[in-house]
Amino acid sequence: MSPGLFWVTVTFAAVLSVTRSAALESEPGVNDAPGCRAWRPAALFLGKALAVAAQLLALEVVLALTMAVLYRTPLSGLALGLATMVTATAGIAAVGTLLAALASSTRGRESLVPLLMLPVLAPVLIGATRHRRGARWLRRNRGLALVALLGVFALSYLMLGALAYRPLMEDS
Amino acid sequence: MTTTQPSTADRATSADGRPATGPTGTGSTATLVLGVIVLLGGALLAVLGLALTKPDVQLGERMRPIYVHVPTVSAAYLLFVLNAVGSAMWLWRKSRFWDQLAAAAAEVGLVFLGLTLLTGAFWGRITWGVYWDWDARLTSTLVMFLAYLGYVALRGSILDPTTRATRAAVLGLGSALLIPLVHKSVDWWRSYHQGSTLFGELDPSMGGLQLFTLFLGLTVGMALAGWLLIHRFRVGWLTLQVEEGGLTEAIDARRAEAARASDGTSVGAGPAASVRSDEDPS
Amino acid sequence: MSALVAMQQVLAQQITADDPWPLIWVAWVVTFGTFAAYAFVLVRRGRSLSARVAPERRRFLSEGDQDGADHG
Repeated sequence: MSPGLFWVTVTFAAVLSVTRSAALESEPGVNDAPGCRAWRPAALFLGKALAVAAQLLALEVVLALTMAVLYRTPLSGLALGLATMVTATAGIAAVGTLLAALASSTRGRESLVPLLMLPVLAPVLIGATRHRRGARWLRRNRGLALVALLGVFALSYLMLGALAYRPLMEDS
Repeated sequence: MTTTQPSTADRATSADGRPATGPTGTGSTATLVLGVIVLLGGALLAVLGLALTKPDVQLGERMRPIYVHVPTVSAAYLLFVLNAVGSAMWLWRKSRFWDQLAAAAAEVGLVFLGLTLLTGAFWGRITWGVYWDWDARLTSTLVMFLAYLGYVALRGSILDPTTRATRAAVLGLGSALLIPLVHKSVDWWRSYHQGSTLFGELDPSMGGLQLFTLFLGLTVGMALAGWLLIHRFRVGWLTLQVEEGGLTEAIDARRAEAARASDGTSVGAGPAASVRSDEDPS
Repeated sequence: MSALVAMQQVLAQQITADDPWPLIWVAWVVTFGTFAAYAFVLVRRGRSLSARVAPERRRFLSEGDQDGADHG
């Protein structure tokens, strides 16, 4: 049960984090500030995603250590576990940053962001949850293939976001 | 289907040479023909699928929901691909046509996919004994349904047409990235849903009439998707005209008001007029 | 509420009798019915909207007005 709890916590934290991240930018005139002009939209998107990912990773480390102590979860398969955490978090941050930008300054964005995020994140959450079932399950069940899947997912949405950020900034 | 005859929709097309009177609805000669094909095909499909085809060798009578289940899911996939095409083309060309096509495809696709989930649940109950299971294929289909539900919800919550079109296009492309994932999910996760019927191998024991019914179902499903898509596109187009017409009217009213106000000041009217002309420096 | 329970009991009986036909009918009727209802709603919406739009702007035309949507 603890991997499910872990990733549900991370997802809720991500919803809050990306909503805040998008709200900062939707304030009038923010993108016209002189410092912002120098940034290309793709770099702006990747920077925002990186910031969200850093927040989430910090939370995950604390959460994982707490869980290891409280529930006496063995920290076995550490390398693969870390790889899962990094790739899954990259995917969550990319999707979240992009979708929160789509929903920013709309009516009812507080409910829109989770509605948009949860379906897209479902594959990541299922993959990541499977991943933390323990080292033996991983060795038998193509653990690396799932890390690769999470990596492909993260890369796809990072690329989409980087490409889409310019039209998004121009048209809103 | 009989209540929705598209024939009623269109009596004053440009064909009768009266350009002054536009179409009174979303119907046209093309959709009339398509609608008649759908109605006849649908009736034939019902007769064949519910009565004339023999029970399947393996599934028995449980084969019968498949004749509507497979066409709806195939059309839904096709419509979501169309949504992705429209989304990409909007970002490239910025033509309202592609935005409206993407919007129509998503909404019609959502109806088809919702019916796929429903008929699948009934089929599951009579075949597996349960309406729903968190099986990989079922879960990922539900995920896709929710993703496009989110697309429709996002469109509904943005007022400006251009902002709406661009943001929806990005979301449409993001959701399209999920389609291969959904399709591959059967291989990736353990699943007891049978392999893909459309692109997989056909059951060799299937009789000729069964195969014909399956392909008739696919044809009718595609024709129906086309009919609904055209009508939904035209509804979306009309909505856009109403939105922009409303905006134009508001601006015209504002201009008229400003003109009246400036007339008023020249005659030497009270403070209200001067406030108005302050508001509108043009 | 009691109607729902009764309906469930009817369904349960039919299922324990292992007769697939009730749910086969439900699947087909729900499919055809939903499409009919959706088509009906679309046609009605199209008519009421058409009445509010100038005749020459009711249809998308590939030439001309296509990109000229930004009249405002």
